[in-house]
Amino acid sequence: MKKESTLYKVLLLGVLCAICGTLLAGVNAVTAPIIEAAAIENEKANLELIYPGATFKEVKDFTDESGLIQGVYEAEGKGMIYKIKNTGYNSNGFTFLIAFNNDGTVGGYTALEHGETSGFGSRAFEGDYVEQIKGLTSSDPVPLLTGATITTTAVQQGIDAAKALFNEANNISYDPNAVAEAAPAPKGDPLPLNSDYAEFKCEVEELSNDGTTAKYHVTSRGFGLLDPDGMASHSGHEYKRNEAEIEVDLASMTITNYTLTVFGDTEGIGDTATTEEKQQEFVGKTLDDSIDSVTGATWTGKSLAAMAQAALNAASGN
Amino acid sequence: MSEKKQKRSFVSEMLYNNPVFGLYLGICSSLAITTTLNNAIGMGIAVIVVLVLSNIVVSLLAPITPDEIHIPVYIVIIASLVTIVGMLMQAFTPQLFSALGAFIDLIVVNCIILGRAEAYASKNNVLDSAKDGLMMGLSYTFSLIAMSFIRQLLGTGVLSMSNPMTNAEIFSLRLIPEGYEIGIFTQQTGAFLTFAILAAAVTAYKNANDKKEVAKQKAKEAQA
Repeated sequence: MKKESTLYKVLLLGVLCAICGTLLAGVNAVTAPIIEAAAIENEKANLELIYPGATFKEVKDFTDESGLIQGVYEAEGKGMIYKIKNTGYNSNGFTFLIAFNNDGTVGGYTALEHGETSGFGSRAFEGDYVEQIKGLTSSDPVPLLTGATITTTAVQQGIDAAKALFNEANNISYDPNAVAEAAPAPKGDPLPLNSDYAEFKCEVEELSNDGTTAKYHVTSRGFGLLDPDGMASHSGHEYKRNEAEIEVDLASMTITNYTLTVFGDTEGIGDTATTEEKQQEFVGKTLDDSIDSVTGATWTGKSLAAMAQAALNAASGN
Repeated sequence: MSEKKQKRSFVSEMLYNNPVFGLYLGICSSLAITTTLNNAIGMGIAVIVVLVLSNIVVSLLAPITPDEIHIPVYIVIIASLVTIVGMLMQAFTPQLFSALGAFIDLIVVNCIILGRAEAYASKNNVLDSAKDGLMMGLSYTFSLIAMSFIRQLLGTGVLSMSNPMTNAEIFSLRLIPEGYEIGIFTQQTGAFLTFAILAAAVTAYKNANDKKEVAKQKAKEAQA
């Protein structure tokens, strides 16, 4: 064959490519497992948090429509771990692992890094909520957490994405639209009604007094106006005073009715301390009693307690 | 490269035919990766391996390669070699691989390699081509080390090296006290500054040496 013929050139390039291709395939066969093992090595310390001592394998072949799943790892004989990144309250986002055991129960739930507000969003990765998630299965809806709604909604989205993958891979049918009941806000320290609430600057106006019952209109500064740690003034909220109408039985000096008429604190956070039930808690209370504060809404809770105190003080002054 | 066949020392030859400072080849990667000695040596070794092997293969294939397709043939050879080196680096020196990043793959289009294949290996025998590849690779590595030495020292104040297989530190010397480093040298600007100064120094050396050689030549002629 002539060196200048087209056929020769095509053949030469073809043979060259075939040789190179074979060589590359050979090297790839040697290096690919090493590269894969090295890639999982970086993640191994995290995966060990959930399944200590297991043999891990990265699953690369998955379709995640939500785009939240960063990695899927199989712990041989134990379950699947999903690494999820989503954004909650802190714009830097957070990363956590959720694992499902092979029987479908949650095998682990742990944050790798998050910058959610301590006492609010951070509760999504601590204590009761973690235990609650660990008690679920891959077909249960993920509950939200009052006072940490934004963070737990993002957690929920992530876990839902992992559930979708896990349930599809294991042919588990479930209702993806099921909604879980919100977990009750956790109880905080008790707030005694006879504490010093001077900084709340309560103002009391007597609405009626028939000698047995007195009704007062009380206003108080709340979290936003007190601005205890300078957070409120940067939040862009328009804060105002909390206002309530409080009835006091003058003979026993107990509160007989407590109705919040104006809520001036942060929606979604402070209002966990002003629910119907929280207002009802004041009924039957005297100055010697205390109410339970709500974690994450302590200042609003104190503001309400301060108003109760102011009404009781006004009643005893009569 | 130079027309007059002068006997020069190894170092002198290295400076004369230095691809980076003498011929201005392969500058792109030199500017980009010379932030640490580790990167420089890793990149240098990768280039030496590719350059020697590609020179050998090209010189072997030269007699059977028609002129019209010689560039595609070289590119296939070089690309395969670079991919192999890249895969080996990713497997055995992952830290170095991620530090060098895209510049491993970009060895394919590094002018030094295609340049040597075209200018030397395709016209010379296997042994000479391998030698040429080694020499060129060493000069390239030398240039990278020179640049990264200056940049790492001035930019971070520390000279350090680690074993790329295990990431164990081999040595780490703080030569400039903390707070007195010149951060710009870790940036691209610093790369250009370093490059310009070294290239100027090499040119100055070459000019001075040329004069000396001419003078010697004349003295010889006068004697004869």
